[in-house]
Amino acid sequence: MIRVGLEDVTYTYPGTDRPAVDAVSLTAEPGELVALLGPSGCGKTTLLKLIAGLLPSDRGMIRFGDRDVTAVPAERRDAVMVFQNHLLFPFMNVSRNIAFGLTMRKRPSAEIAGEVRRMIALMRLEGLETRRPSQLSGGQRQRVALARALVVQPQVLLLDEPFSSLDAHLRDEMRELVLSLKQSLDVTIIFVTHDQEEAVLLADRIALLFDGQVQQAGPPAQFYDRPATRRVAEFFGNRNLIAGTLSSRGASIVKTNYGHFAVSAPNLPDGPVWMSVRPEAIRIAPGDQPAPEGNNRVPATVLRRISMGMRIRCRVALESGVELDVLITDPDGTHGTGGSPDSGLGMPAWHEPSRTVQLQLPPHRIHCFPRNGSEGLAETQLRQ
Amino acid sequence: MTSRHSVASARPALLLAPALLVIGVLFAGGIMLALVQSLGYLPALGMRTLSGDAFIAVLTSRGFLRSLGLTLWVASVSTVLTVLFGLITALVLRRRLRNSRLIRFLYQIPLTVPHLVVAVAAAMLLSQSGLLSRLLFHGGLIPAPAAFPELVHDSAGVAIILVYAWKQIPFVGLVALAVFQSVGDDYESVARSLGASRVQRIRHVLIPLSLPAVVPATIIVFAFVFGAFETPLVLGTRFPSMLSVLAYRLYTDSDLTRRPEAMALNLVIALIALVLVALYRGATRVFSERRDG
Amino acid sequence: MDEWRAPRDRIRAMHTVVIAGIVIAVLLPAIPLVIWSLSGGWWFPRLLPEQWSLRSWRYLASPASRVAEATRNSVIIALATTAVSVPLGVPAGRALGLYRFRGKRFAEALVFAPLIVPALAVIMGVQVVLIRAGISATLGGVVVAHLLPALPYMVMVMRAVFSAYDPEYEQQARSLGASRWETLLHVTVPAVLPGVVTGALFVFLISWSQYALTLLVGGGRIITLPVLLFAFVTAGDHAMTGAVSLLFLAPALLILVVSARMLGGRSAGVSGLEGV
Repeated sequence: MIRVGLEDVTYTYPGTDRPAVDAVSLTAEPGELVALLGPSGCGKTTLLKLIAGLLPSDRGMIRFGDRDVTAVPAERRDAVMVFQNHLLFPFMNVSRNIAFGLTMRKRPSAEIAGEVRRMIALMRLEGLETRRPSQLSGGQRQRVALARALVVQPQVLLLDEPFSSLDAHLRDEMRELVLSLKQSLDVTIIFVTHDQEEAVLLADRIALLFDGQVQQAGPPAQFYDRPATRRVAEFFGNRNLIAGTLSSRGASIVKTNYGHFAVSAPNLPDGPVWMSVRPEAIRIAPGDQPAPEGNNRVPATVLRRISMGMRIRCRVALESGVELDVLITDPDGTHGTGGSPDSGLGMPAWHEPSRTVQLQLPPHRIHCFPRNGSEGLAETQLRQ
Repeated sequence: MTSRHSVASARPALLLAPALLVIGVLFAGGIMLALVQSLGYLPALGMRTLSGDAFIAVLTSRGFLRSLGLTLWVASVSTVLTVLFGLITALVLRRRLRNSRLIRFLYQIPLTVPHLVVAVAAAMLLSQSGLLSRLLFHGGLIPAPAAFPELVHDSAGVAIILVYAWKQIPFVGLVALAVFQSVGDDYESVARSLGASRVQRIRHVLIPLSLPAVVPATIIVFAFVFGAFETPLVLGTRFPSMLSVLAYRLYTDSDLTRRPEAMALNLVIALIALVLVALYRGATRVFSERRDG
Repeated sequence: MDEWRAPRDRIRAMHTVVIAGIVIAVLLPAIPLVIWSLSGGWWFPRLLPEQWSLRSWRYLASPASRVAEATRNSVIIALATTAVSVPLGVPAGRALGLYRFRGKRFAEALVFAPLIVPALAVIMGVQVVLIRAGISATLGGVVVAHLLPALPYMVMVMRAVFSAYDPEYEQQARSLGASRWETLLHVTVPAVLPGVVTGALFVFLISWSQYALTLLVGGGRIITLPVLLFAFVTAGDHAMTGAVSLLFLAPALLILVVSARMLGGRSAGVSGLEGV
């Protein structure tokens, strides 16, 4: 196990103006599973290739433990990259594909045979030794590709969108395999994905990249609760953003053009901020009932709603036009007494479209983060 | 209109018929006629009895064996040179051609230049009084034209070999380049990541990847040299001559009774070439099965 | 950065050597052709002619050299060969490239074999019939002989073109209301035209470069450019040999330029080049 440290790593593809990877600094602790997350074209695969040594960085430093590997070419770097479409050599059978790295290292053939057998057992590939890649299923190919990488016992394993080419059920199986490998092998894993759910599910830490720059790095929960910027929040599907201005004289208050909201100390300087609040954190009650206890009560109008089994997701509009998602976990329970029992969907009517409801945003569930001057209130209203 | 697979055989048959008729009449007809004539049936010359004498005469003659040996030698050596330099140039050019249209154009020139012109130029360059010999003389490296090695009209067919290599290197090169372009850089990157050095990547990855296309191309290259005619006519010796030239000489011999021998020789040439056809089709099938499973 | 840069410099140097080698090797043969065509006398061991002269080019332009007649014959034969090969080759290529049917493997073998088996060996057998039919030593007879290497080549090029072509475009056009004829005109033809033109150019070139078959069937009475060129070679007239070679070479280069343009930088139909 080894720590991977990147400092100020920058790379611009020849013939382009904008860096594909722009001054990235990042650390993966020994044995950690780190996800490089971002939309396509954000530079995450380029960053992976820089770590693998397949591209030479223009600037910055890459360390494996205490060793500076910036100038070490890929073939001597001890970091193996597994490509998205597995790229098994079509002219070799499964065993020879797995043996490739050891063959290149000119290991004795008896040792190679033993190691290959061990990997085949570990990856549950028994019986496929003499098959050609074209005769394997997608999941088998992916396992062979992993075996081929792991057999050389790399200190760092780099996976580029490892599961994106698989069907849903195979994907789950492979994810579990990777998690179990992480526990059984001494290897630091960095993988690239565009799927935030996958990143959250697997990674100890996530680095979110936009335009070649790290927007935020940290444990998965942070990206939901404490997004650093509006783009991060939106990438994680958080649409509940309210623009305001923070002022912390005495208590922390965010002023918006639909009233003032109390927030718990956000550890931010005063100025323009975004308030984000998760749909499940908002409390909701029928409009004809007293609002739920506490600060930050606002009336809203239901726009539309989607049944999600036991729960209902409502889209509501505040008076000013700002729209929020609200999750009703108890649709016909204590709040439901005022409504008619059924409206055809098995939903009580108090949260039918165009009904008025009462919201309460608990101060300690509101997360504030800085807002750019350019992301003004006017823009917010346009956006709604 | 129906889909690709369920088309009744009437339609492709109609599309194919005219071309197949012309090719069939010329090719199969030519071989049949050669067979008949090789057996000594030439009514125009008053020869109407059938015998295998011509085959025996050809196959046992010293000229045939020497010609066959020379032809196989020239074809083998030029094929080896062609594949070797075709691969080397393809490996070097695979990154460059994307950028340089001029190099791409230059590289393809030999493909379209007629053999006769290349042979003529080779004679002017490589003969003992040719341009290279003059250059060496001026460089003080040789004292007289006779000191320049005999490359033209020689018994080893050096100039013929060079002409065919010159003509066909870009053919093999472009076949390999097409493979390199279609597989991209990723297989190489995988191999690098797994610890393969530059030489290992070429040997264990790039060359094996190109073989399914290069092996059939190699057979075509060999077959072309095997049937060489005008190049050895310009650059070869009178004895031994390459097989096609020998057949033509027998055919145009003033002694018309040698015609059956010419036809017998043509059949031998065609037979060897047909074996190459079978090899080619076998090779493409083996490689495509490997790819598709 | 040393470990990255040092081997790269060495490799770059190696690449430069190979590319320089390619440029020299390709251009070298043209040098003696050009010099000889402009020489009035060039004895060993001189590096350049002691006398420059336009004699060969002037003679080339005069009727006595028969160059005009040879060029005319070469063009007529090559155009006729192309005119027959294209309309026969395109549908056959479509059949082999698009459809599965019984006997396809046999058909493919029959088309492919003449590309490998030396045409001279086969046409020598046919010659007896051409003589009997009275078309030996005529332009028509030569065209018939040229079809043997040319037509299979056209079929194979079109087979490659059609196997990369999706006939569902045609079905889409029909379902949008196009007639059979309109579909052919607006969908099929535009899709395969670059392939057809490239194939036709190379068929022209195959016929244009053909010496052996013309010699055999023409029997010395049909003078084409290669036949004339060979006569100058045999006569040992280096100046004329150089000049006629350059003339003979020009269309080949022109066709390469045109086909490179047509295919937008991609190689001039690798599948096709094996026939030349």
